[in-house]
Amino acid sequence: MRALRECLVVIEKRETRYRVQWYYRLYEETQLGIAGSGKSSGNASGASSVEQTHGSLLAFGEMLRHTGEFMLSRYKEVAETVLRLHESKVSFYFYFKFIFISTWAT
Amino acid sequence: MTDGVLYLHLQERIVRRSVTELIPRLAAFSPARFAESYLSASAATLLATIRSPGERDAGFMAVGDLAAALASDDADKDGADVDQSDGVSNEGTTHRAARLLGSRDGSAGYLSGSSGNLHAVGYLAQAAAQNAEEVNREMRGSLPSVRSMGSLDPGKAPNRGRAAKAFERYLPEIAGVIQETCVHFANRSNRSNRSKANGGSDLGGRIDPGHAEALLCAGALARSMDVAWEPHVRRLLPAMFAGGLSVSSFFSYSRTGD
Repeated sequence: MRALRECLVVIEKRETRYRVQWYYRLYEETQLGIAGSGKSSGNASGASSVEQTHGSLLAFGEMLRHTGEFMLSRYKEVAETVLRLHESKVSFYFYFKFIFISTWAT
Repeated sequence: MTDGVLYLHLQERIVRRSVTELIPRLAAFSPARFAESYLSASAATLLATIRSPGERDAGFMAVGDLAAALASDDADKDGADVDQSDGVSNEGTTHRAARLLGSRDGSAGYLSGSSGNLHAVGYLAQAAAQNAEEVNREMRGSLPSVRSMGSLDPGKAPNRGRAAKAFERYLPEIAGVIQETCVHFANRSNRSNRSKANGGSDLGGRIDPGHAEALLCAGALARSMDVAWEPHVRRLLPAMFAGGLSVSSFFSYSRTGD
């Protein structure tokens, strides 16, 4: 994550027309990490692993800090993704906890 | 099966923690927009997190960071960056708060880093230490009028924006959880002391996860929310003292915070 942060800081300082392209590519990969489309993850099931999700969240955090206005138009999408993710992970855990307790009780 | 569930729980916890830490960054990026659209959902998430014993440390830190982020939205700039779905530029408010946030790995980090921690506590300490006599009286059982928060910056009227004002409605609940955390720690310490005095084992040698963060959160809220936090601080101080904060540490933190 530190490496990514430093890269973004360097890129941010550069006056290059490729900057937005790099940001966009990073954003796409980050989205893929959460959505788990399997394109870049090699995950046959299409589901993203916890590691991928975690990495994507960290990357989002860095992008919010170091990509300037690039994230403005994507803010809604990111915020909704992040908040939805929390809810789904919580319910996922409680679902398995419920299954476990039911199994144990019987 | 048990191992599987535990593994799953640990794995999911990492993600939940990351989400918790990302919320203040989202707020810092665009405080007004965040307050308008996502504050209620985020506050519900964070309140649930600080109530969860295993995750309240990250939750308290995130609450402090969130308050700082929302407080950075000045009243003067209210509405300036509310509607930006079209990507209109607003370098002023939008990224300033995001840059203010520190660099703790994987988290927002306003409270992070040793100097940040000490400064946050130091601010609360400064608030209370300015009225050390009053604090002492309070410890003896009489609640004085603690005007400390108002005296932090007496010449400056609160100029919080809508984002910070929207956050104020969650302060009572946050204060309640901080109080519970401090009281729980105090009770455990008392039990431990009684047990040691009776020749028993030390029951409470370790600090609960989240206890120190609760104190830091109170300091951060004092700094960010200013007078809106004052009534809650008055209610909280006895519990915080009972929960391990001392007048001497107030003074030392105050000096460090400066």
